Amino acid sequence: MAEAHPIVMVVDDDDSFRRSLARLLLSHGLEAWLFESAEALAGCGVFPEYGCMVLDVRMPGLDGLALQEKLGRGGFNLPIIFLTGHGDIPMSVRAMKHGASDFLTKPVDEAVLMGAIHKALADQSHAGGIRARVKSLTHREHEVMCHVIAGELNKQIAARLDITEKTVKVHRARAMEKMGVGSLAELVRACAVAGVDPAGKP
Amino acid sequence: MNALMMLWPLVMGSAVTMALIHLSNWLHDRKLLEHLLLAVAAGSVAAFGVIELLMMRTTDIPLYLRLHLAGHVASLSYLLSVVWFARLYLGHRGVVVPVLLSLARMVVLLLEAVLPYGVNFREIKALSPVEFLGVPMMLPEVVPWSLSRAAEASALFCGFYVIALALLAWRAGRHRRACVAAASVGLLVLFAMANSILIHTGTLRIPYMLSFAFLCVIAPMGLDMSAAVARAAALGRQLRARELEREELRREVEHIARVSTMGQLSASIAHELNQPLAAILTNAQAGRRLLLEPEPRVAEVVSILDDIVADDKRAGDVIRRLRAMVEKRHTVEVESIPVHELVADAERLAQGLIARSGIAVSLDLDPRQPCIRAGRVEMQQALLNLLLNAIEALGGNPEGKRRLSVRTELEGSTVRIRVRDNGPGIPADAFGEIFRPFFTTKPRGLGMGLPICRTICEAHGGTLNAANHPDGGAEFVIAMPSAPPA
Repeated sequence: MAEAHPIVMVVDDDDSFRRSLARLLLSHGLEAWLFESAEALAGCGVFPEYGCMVLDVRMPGLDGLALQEKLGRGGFNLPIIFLTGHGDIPMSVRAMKHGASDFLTKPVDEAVLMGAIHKALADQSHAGGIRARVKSLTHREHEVMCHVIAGELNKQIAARLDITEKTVKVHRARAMEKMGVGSLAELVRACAVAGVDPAGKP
Repeated sequence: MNALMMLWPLVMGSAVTMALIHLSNWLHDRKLLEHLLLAVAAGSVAAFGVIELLMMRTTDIPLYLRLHLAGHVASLSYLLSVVWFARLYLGHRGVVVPVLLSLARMVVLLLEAVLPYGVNFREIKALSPVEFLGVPMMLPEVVPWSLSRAAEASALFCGFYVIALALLAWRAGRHRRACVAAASVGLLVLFAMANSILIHTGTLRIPYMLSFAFLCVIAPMGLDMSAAVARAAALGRQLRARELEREELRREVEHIARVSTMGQLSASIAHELNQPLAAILTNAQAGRRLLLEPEPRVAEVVSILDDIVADDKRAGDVIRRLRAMVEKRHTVEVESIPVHELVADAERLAQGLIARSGIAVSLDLDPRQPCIRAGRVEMQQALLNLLLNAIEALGGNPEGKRRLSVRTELEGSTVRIRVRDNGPGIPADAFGEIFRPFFTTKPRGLGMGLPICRTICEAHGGTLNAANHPDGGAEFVIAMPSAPPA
């Protein structure tokens, strides 16, 4: 399950603000990794397993939104909280569409920021738990689950995978059990959180 | 003392006053040659008055002759200055006649000096007392000769010349001046010639009273000239008032342009203010929590407070720069400014916009740190405008290929600031137009930016020019005279 020690990655081009945020996080018992630009972050290489990112939108060089998209393509799955001096609606829509956890404006109130960080960390630990469950599925179970959440009937799945309908039912029940869900609706939601691609390959 | 004898001091006093007035006019503006000539003429009249008085008292014939010669010198300088003055006063260009007249009078003076009894007399037999209008005085008993007529004719021709010029001026529509000149010279011709001829021919035994006539000639013209000076002064005052009004308007337009420039930069400035404010808030909140911990981390809190102070100053600087640019000012405070400071300040104001536009800026500042004498805010406005134009021009370049360079250099006594971009350059058909007011290529432009920049540079003795760089892009060059550092 989730590690006990979450890391908050802060990417902001303003030295003083970066330092102040690190102190605030420290006072809340959170460790911060500081980066002055998207390029500096790219040079880091290793990302924490458990944590989140506080990202400035407007930075010289690669800006926050572009960095988010680039990280997304690279399979980065930590939640991202945007923090910007002046955000507009197109900017926030673009960020949220690409899965941002929150979009806040500077100066930000402590309670709001910490609320967003804690929610992101909770989401991440929840998602991390579900991802661990997904990993425990066999190849076949995962395959069947993907077809199930894509809305296919057992009969269709059997035909597609060239197995009997009975076997599909067994895999499906196993998958439901391992994922710890009692209904199809819960399974779909859990898969969404863990980022399982419906009808995709495991 | 007889009333007649009061006239000479009166004439001399007036002549000296007039000479001083016109001399001071000329000293005030050395181009007003007619005033100098009039001053010489008036001075000659004063000298003439003195000579005439002395001649009435002389009992000695050689002294009388020397005074007569001195009178000829004064009359030469008088006639010459009147002739040349009339030429200027009545707006005539010819020089042949005045030169001939001048030469003729010089010959007369030469003869006066060489001949035993001067040019006007064959002989002076004696000086004997005579009563003239109740005043006793010494007057010569003369033997006349006809050579004197030639001398008198040369003076008469000077008068004719002035009257001829007056006629020409009348025809050219300069009626007032023509009347003044003709009437006053007419008086001279009538009075002075009659007076001299009567003495020279020995017809009447009367004293020389030429100074009266001479003063009569120049006084009206002098008065007219003084009126002209007064008119010119009034015109000058009007012009100055206009100039002030124009200056006020120019400052008004500059101010509007500055405010509008700041409007363009508002997002950038808001960002610059927001950063320190955000850091201050976060620092304060962190500090509060750190102090409330069971074992407060005092060292950390101290560094938090240091950062807060620095950030507060940072925000204050932004506001100060902004205020300097938008404040309405009634005077330009000219001072000696190092150009690298100007460049750095303008670059800071535009920094937010530069960063957001993804432009790489390179500053190449002359290490000698040359200074110019100018209004700081105005020069910053000009420079900022050039930067904003360049930033806008770079909008069409692909990201990562937007370059802006600012270079300062000192060459001889000229300081140049070059603002260059690698944008599309100035279109050929717009080249002659960009400094024309209200010319703009921007959809929302006023067309006042570059004309104002140029006016600012020129107001401080500099220039602003534009060119397309051979390697592409536009280059604007401010050239200003260098100044010693403050």
